[in-house]
Amino acid sequence: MCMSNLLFQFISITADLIIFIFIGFYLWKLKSEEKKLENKETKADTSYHQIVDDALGKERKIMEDAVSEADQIIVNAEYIKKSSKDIVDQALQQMVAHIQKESIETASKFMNSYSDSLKELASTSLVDFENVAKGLEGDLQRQIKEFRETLLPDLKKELDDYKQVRLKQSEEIINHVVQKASQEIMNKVISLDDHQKILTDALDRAKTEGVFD
Amino acid sequence: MEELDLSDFFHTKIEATDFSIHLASISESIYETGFDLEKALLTHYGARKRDKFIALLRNNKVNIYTASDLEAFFNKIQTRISSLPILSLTIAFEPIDETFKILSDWLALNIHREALLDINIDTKIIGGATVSFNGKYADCSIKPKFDQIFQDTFKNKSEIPAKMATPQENHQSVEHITISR
Repeated sequence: MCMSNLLFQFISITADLIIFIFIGFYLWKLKSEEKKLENKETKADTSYHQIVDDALGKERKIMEDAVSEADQIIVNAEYIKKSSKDIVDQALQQMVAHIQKESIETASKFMNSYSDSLKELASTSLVDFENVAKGLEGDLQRQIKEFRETLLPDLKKELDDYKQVRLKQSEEIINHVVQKASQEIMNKVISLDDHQKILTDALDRAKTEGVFD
Repeated sequence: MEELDLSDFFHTKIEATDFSIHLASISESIYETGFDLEKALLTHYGARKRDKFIALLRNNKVNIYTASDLEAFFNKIQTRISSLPILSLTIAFEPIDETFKILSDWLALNIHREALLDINIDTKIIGGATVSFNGKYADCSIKPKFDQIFQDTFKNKSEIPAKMATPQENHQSVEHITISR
């Protein structure tokens, strides 16, 4: 019994020792790996900064070159612009002078031509107008003659008839108005006594004519 | 039988109709209790005609207190009115009472009988009258004579201006018109 206990204790202690050794080894290994990683990180960081610094340097160089180039281009462009403007102005001045000269010459030619045309046209039109007027006069004379010989007598007759009808109508209207007015006036100017006397005379006349028989 | 003289009561056809209507009204009430003839006549015709009506009754010997006598006399008057001839006159002025008196006198003197006047007024006849009696008609107004004179006068007058208004032969002649430039 005692022996087995001792054996058990021995085995137990031995196992514990092995476990402790294993854990110690593991921790040592872990530490060394961590150290390696730190070294790698330091290296990578150093390399990164080196690259960034290089890039920034290159960028600054490029920008300076670009600015220098642009300044050069602008200077050149201004020079070209100025010289172009001078050339164009000069060309325009020449063109204006040329156009003025041409215009004067053309206008002069046109005036001469127009004047000649007018003279020609006036002489031609006058002759044509005389011909037309003569023709018109002949036509009119002929129409007047026809009118006098054919239409005028009929027209005169129609006019006379119309006049007579209108005169007759006017006369009838005037007569009617005068008649009515006269009747009214005469009726008013007869006194009551005269009316009564005329009334008895009328009855006497009616009696004579046999109305009361 | 002596004819009743009703000329004091009416002259015209319209007056006669009015008189007849009132008389019929009186006649309807003569049998009523307390009928007073004079009062009824005064109401319907006025004082002047009432007195004349009483005189008419007295002249015809009518007993005014006996209803049957009154009725018979009233009927006689109505018959007389309806038998009167109508004299239609168209005159040119508004008649007055004197005019009706003149006409009544003329009728009594010339045709010896009463007639109802049917008077129309037309100033166009100027004066005198157109007369229509018993289907006979005569225009005895001034109008026909006036129209005749008027026509003759204006016919003669209208002939002179017609000659004067004759246009001249060469009036507005185009014979000598020429056109030149």
